[in-house]
Amino acid sequence: MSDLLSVQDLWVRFVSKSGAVHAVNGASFSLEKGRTVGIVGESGSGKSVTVKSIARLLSRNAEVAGGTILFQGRNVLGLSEKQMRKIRGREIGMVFQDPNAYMNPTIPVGKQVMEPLLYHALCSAKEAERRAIEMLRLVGIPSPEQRFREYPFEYSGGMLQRALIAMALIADPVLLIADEPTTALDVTVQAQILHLLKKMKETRDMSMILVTHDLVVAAQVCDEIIVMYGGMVVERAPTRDFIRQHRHPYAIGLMASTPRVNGPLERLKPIEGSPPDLRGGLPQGCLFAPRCPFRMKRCEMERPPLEEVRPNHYVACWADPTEVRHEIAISQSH
Amino acid sequence: MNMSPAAGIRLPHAVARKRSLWSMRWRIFSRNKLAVAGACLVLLVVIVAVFAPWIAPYPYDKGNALDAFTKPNAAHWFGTDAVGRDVLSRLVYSLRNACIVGFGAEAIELTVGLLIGAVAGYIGGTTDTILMRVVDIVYGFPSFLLSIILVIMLGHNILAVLVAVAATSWVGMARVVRGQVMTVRQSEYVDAARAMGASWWQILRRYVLPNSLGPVFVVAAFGIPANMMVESALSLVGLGLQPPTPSWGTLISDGQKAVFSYPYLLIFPTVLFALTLLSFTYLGDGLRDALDSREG
Repeated sequence: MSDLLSVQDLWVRFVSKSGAVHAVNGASFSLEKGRTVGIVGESGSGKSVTVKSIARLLSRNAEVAGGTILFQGRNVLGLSEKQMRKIRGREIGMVFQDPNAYMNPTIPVGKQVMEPLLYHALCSAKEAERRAIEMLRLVGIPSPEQRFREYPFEYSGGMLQRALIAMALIADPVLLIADEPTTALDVTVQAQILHLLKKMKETRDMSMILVTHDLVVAAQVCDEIIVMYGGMVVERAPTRDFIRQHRHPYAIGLMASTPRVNGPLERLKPIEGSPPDLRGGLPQGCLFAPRCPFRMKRCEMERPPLEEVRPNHYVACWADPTEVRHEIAISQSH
Repeated sequence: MNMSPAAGIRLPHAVARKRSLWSMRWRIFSRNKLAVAGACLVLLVVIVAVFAPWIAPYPYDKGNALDAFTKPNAAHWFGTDAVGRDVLSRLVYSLRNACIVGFGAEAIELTVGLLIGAVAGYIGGTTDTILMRVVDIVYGFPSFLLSIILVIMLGHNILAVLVAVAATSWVGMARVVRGQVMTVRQSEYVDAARAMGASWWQILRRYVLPNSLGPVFVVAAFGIPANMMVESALSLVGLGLQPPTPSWGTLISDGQKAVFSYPYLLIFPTVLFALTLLSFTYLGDGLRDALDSREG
């Protein structure tokens, strides 16, 4: 297998005085070299926590309770902090949600962009400056020589996100993790940033994980889509397959609540209910069962495993897909 | 508020450039006229304190008994005291002593406060709990009483006074630094720095300290006049600097004994004392406006 990254049965919980919050509950997925995977889910589905554990950037009260994360054949969960530091920024680059909050307000943007090169002592400061300017140009910042010296407050949100991407890419990582990179931006800027991410990924022989709550965004950029719910992977399929043949009731609900550009004009269907409460113990059975229109007796007793229903297409649901599709067809015709 | 003329319009970079963070902060500071006046006065005070031996027209500890209680005149601008010493010279030297205690104690306060506050805030956990309980104990103890006990134990020279003042004032600084460091440590840009592979030392130096220092400067600017106040208070009740070493406290205490016959002996030191403290306070106010505001 030529997997760059393989997450196997990952469990993460946050421990506080008032009890534990089970954020990730046995998530598994893998990423081949040169591919892009999109992790989709609503707030609290554990998507951010999952990718943060890959770079081991969880807060102190988080605890990895089980599983392995193999990155280039090494289990990152077993590495020392020092070994981990050599991977961060150099082999794994990260782009975050709110570019304003993720830039140090007291350092000029260009100096921050070159920082990963200096942290890892990859070149001299002079060379780093040259490469930072080059990188800023590459991500589409006009007159980068001047903008190099400007502070974050002098940048617009979209420009700052470009700079953040430049910073994540400057040390030539093999994996780029983009955690909701377009959520805080205007819609027009969103498309530009997505396009940039896609272009960068293609030209630099890199793999990418895109975390988003927006299925449309994921479908535009990713080769594969992973849907997370309650800290578990509930469906995983190549993008094309997913768009046509998504089977998990939650994925169906997500698709139904996403506006279509070229379809008939119809009211969007929200998913009834709210995400599961992950405090205390996990409920028995399928976590989506309370909100699921296709709920059966079995769903409340046993948790469905992630099973391959077609080649490379995995779903965790007891319901018979043909029946599910049939019922949807009925419900949509009403 | 005056809006920038460029609002909404993209200026060519040659025009829009040349605005660093510090020049922005300077703009905010210089808009506050009282703060600028305070800064100028503070500068003057420091110059007088440093060059006291050259500025004072007479020695502070020797006078001609025949000249006792001379009213202000051309030879003695601020008059002379009960033993004929020049009041202006004594004021200049008391200013020097106040500055030595004020700035010296502040330097100790900054060092200790920064160190303890940064360690407590950055490491957290049990270390934080232990250090902060120590801070609480010192904070809870009546500070002036502690200073008095310390000068009595250490002697009444200027170094003892300095230590006595610093021993009680560092706790406030430690608390401020700890709070700042904790806030910055949890900020997103520190997460980003970690994601780029920065070590804890690089994060502390490049991220946490520069972003925590604003309020620290402000606290320091208010701390200096507070230290001067404690020094004067100690001297006023006779526990601080001992005669003939001049201090605002002793000058004021001497002056109020003769207040009805020779009011200038009380007026000059008190007015100058008040003016100095006020200018430090205004400087601190200006710094707070300039450094604390989060520019978006």
